[in-house]
Amino acid sequence: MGENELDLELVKRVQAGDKTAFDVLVRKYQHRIGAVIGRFVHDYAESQDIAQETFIRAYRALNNFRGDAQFYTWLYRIAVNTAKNHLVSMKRRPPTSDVDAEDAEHFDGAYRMHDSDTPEHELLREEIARTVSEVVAELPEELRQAITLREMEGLSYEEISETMDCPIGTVRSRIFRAREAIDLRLRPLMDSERVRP
Amino acid sequence: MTSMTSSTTVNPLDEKICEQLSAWIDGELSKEEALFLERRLQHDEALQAMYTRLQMTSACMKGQSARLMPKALCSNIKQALAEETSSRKSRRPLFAWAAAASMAFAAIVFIPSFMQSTATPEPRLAINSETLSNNEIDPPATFASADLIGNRQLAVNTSIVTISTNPATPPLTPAVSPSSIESVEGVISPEDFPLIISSEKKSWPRSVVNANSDPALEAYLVRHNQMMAQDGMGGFVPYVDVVAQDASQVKKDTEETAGDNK
Repeated sequence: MGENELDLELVKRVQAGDKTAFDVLVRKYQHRIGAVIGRFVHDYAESQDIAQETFIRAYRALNNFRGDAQFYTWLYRIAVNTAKNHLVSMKRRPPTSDVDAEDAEHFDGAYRMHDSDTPEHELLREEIARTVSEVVAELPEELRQAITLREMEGLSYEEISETMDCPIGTVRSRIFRAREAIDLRLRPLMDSERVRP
Repeated sequence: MTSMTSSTTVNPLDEKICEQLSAWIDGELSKEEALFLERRLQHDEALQAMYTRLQMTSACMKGQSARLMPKALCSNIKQALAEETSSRKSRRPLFAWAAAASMAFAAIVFIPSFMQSTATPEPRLAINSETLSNNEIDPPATFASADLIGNRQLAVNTSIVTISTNPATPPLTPAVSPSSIESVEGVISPEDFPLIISSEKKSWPRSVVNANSDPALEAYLVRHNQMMAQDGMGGFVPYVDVVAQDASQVKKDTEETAGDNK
């Protein structure tokens, strides 16, 4: 099941009154939405408030979501509009140019987006990126191949099993092992207080 | 590298959950397992923290931008939505009552005027006794109206006449001159209704009830009855006899009857 289908399934559950499903959507997208809002609002506390407002608005409007667009794209638009409205209400001028959700995801000017963060956040992000890169490079070939095909190529477990010529269960296990190895190195970095100002 | 992966400190149960989390992120978990994991994710902080780390890992590998949001964001959103839902629920009965009250008010205000305009095709007029005695206008053909309107066949001398002559009580009827045959269309309160007074004497026995009743109330009820009778409705038919009593006349009649018996 692709990401869009997964999201649509969660949306349907929310529409049917399942609040747990909405919590899952919040957990899934909070950090990406945080990055989107960070392009407009530099202050971290302010961006949290806008993120919260974004998700609340999304929840209120979720009954109108019919799945014509991807859920993230829809959420992205709400976040952008909420951030712009916030700037207007604070008598600050929102940026005139905009970036589409898809482009924003892989915006190499992603570095420009990061300019809004505090130096501590910026340092942490660089540290996380370096650590992930190092651990992936150190992984055994079969783990590295599995995680790369999944994360970078976006292949399903079935497709990876065909590519690597191994059972799906093995693919699942290899991907988990790779993630576990990365996680083990990331944990000391991200559990520290500095990541939760 | 195998040593690195085997050096993890999670117990078998935790490892199983972590593997499920990894598969769930990729959408490769069965529906039942996914539901179980999602429920656990609500309460298990360690699992939530791992989920965040895996998300950051994924974002790094995919080249996506992500900004760590605080742990409290999810709970704040959940709390805000819960408060919003509960306040909406608590407002709902109030809205229902307000809507019901509005409907009732609209019914009280508009239905009588609607019925006035549709009940009888002939013009409804406030008529006085002189008009009726000249037989220019027939009274409305309702049972109640027959009680009060000065009909020659059912002549009733209501107590209103007597009460109105009592100087201690305010006049109960608006001045209705012979020339003031006016339409009562649109009159919605008995207080505004021009009382119709018969000039003829009573022709049937009166009931004897407590004479200490409120004249203003009696007058109101009589007007109400007349008004409703004009609309083809019954009005306070059972009250007619009660309010139409003439206490002094009743006393006099009683004495005369007693004298005759002697």
